[in-house]
Amino acid sequence: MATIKKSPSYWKMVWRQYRRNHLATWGLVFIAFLIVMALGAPWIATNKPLWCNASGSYCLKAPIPYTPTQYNLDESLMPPNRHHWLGTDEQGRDVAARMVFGSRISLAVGVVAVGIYVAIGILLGALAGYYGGWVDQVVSRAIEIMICFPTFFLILTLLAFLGPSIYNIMIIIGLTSWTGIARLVRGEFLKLKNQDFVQAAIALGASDSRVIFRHMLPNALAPVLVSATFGVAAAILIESGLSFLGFGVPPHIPSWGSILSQSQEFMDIAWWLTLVPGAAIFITITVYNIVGEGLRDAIDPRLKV
Amino acid sequence: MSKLLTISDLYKSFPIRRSKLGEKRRFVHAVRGVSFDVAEGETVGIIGESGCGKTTLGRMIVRLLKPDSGRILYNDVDISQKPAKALHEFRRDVQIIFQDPFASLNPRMTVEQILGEPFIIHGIKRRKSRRELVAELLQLVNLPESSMLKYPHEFSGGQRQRIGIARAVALKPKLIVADEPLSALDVTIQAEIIALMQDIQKKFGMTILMITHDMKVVANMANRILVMYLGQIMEELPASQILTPRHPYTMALLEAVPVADPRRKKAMVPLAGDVPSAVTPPRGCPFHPRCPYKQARCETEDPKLRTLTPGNVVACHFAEEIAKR
Ligand code: SF4
Repeated sequence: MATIKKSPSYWKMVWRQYRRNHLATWGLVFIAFLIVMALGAPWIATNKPLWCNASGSYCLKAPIPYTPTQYNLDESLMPPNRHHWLGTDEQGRDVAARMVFGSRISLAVGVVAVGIYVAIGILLGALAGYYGGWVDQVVSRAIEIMICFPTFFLILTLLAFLGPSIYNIMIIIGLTSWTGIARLVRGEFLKLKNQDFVQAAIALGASDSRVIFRHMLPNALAPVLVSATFGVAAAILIESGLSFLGFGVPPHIPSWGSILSQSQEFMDIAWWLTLVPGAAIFITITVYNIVGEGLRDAIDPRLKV
Repeated sequence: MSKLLTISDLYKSFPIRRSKLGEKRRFVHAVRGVSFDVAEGETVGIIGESGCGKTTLGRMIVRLLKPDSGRILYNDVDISQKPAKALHEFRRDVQIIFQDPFASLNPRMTVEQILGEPFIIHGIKRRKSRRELVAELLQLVNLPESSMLKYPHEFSGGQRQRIGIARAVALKPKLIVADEPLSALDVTIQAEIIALMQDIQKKFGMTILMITHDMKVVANMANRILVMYLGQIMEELPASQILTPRHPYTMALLEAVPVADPRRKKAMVPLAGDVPSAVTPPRGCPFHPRCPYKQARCETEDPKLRTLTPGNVVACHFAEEIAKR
């Protein structure tokens, strides 16, 4: 059989469209940078040398030669300088090192929490939209009940019971925030169910799972991805808010929210303690939103061919 | 002749959303007591204006919809109420071709995936690879083999309809319901698709149920024609008699066909007015609000289908008198 050139898939075309948006493309680069920083934190911020030559005469230092918990009371509250690029906190800990490690919390919360609720939302939304009837009734009522609770306070309350920990935050955000995705998927599935190509698959005798996963879900995924991108931004903000209020990670573990929280007492004498985590949270959330919007433009129905 | 399909007294209605709270639930009565049968190898045309229930009827026959009541005997087995799981074998035998070739193909799948699916679903294992089977299908519908790795949007409407046909005939079904397969296409392409369907029918000897609003299409393809109006069958006639129908509605449909003859006068019986609402179908003969031959009796008494001449069944109280005029 002759070799045939494969045509670009839908996602390839989305990517082409996405790349035309320079701001969004740079946003994606920034997110990639954040991911590298989070994954590489133990090698980026450490007081141990990364590599030494055989004789030990020359050692390669880490870019930030401090660990996030290494304190030095002689160097407390130093403004940004040659050694501490982003200054130090009241215990003389390096803010840059703490920020790098803090990004791990943000990333983990964003990815895991959103992962959990996207999975729940897709499952419930798909079941409701595909089967309709009483399944839809149950899911729709559950969504309405969940929406009644103000999410942030629901999370606060649950955290008060379960105790503040990063895992609890992820799970609680995951278990409380699925309604948006569920409604989105349900709506898409209701539309898709009556599409001829879905009917064609049913007429061919395709099983429910084949119809749902091969035919409907791939056509409903794009808006979910957009929503999930915005969701990561929201989850990061919630985590920062919780940590700021002291409901988040324990104080010795750095997170952007907890660094910001600790800065309150020193706000008038140590501006960098507020500015650095505040700006990091602000920029990261803005970038996720820019990427989400770029994605939304790229999958615009006008592109749908 | 053995009957492949026997439909008796089929009903289907759809609830419409209540606009006001406490309002009585109302229904669109799409199909109201339809009966007919189809012999193996036949091509039966079902014709009617949009909203006459022909699409609903077609989707019930392939069991994409479940009838409210009535029976659909396929090879003497009633499939009208069977649960989806019990229909697997039936689905292999009975396929559907859709109207809109832009909506009937999954935009995220390549042609190879689309055409390979029937074989996967029905676990067809042959010596040939699935790719070879797909290549054969493409050849059957006159598309190049290189189409395989393309996505539906890269094809024209006519080409997409060929893909839709290839999918429907992949498992060599016994019965194909073609739901307006031509109405979304240009006239020249329509002729190609008709030729293709006839060609495939000759090769595989399948039975076709052709649903359409286009008189010319049924006249070209069908052996037998059923005329539907407001969910009921008004007339059944052999294709050879298409120019001499007995029912006023069929006459009106025929007159509405545009002809290429400029000398011919405008329609004698203009099909005036819209199809009445299927929510509250008129009492008596459903056609009476538009019928030029209407009499008092038509408004109260529902005309039953009567056989006038062999093969010609008409639901009109005054068919004989009207024909004499
Ligand atoms: S029954 Fe009466 S209204 Fe109906 S088609 Fe015949 S003449 Fe017309």
